[in-house]
Amino acid sequence: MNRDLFERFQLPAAIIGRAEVNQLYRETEDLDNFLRQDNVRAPGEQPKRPQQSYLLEQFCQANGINLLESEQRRVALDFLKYLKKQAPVLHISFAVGASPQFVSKITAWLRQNVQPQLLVDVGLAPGIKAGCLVRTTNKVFDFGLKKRFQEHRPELLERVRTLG
Amino acid sequence: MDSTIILYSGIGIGGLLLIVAGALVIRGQVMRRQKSQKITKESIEKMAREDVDHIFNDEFREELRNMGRLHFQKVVSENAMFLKEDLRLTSSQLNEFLKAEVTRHLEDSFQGYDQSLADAKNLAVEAVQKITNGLEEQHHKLTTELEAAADARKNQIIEDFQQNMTDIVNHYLLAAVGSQVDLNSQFDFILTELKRNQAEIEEDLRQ
Repeated sequence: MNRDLFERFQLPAAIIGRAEVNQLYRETEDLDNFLRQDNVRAPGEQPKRPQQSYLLEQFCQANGINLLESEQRRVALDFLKYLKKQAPVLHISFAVGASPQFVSKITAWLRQNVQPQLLVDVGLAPGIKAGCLVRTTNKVFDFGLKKRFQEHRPELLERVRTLG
Repeated sequence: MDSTIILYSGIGIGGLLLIVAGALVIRGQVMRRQKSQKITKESIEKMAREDVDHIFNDEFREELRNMGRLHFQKVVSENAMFLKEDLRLTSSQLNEFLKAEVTRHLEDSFQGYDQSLADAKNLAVEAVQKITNGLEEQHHKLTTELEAAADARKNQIIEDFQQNMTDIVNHYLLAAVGSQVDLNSQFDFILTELKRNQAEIEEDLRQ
């Protein structure tokens, strides 16, 4: 695997986490299988070519990949496999289910400022009420409202004392 | 004392009278002897014996005895009167003396009792004062300790109340916020927090 080559790949904002990467890999693999089988089939007996998703199209467009070319298809598959196994993953949980647009915005910022090939796993943490809970490989960052309240508890205590 | 002196003086006077009478008789005899110096010794002795018997006959003796008795009775009665008076005076003085002595003794005793009572009273007062001081000190100490304990407890209760109040406020705020806050409105907050911890996140993802 050519790691330097992989590092030049770009992930569109629509590709957020491992679920999307898995989907892309599956679609690319299906297409690869189809095209390989197509070479050995008699003309006119080929099954219908699997349709590419909008996500795969965006991925190919962003990286200038022509999936009909077997070499480029192989590189794309290798890159997606690399992503599945080695891409850094950041878990982020919200108090409520986040919309894809919102997650995309967060993911875009993270890829722009933290790591270009970062994958984001989105979860649910109702206990934090607002904000988010970020978990990396070894650390947990609580950006929740509850934690913020706890951090600012001395100020609240001071206010309560002032009122008293 | 006076009656005794009077008695002795009476006896002395009586004795003196007897001596004077005796002296007169002896003088008469001497004069008579001088007159009759030429009289023989036997006649003189005879005459003296007769004179003596003549002068000191029974009547004269009885008279002297009566005089002495009367005088003695007079002296005795006078002395008895003096003695009685003196006895009365002495008994009166003795009474006064005894009264004064008893009074003095009683006063001394009473003074001693008063002193003892005063000492005992002072001791009792000192003991009571010491006990009172000790009690006051203990009371003051206890009061101070109780006040300190009450203040500490009060502060603890206030502190607990304030702590609980913050918990209650936080709880109700979180409950009130619930899940109603739109995620889009939280975007800036989340982004700020991510930026604040960007270096740390990068570092951990790199490993």
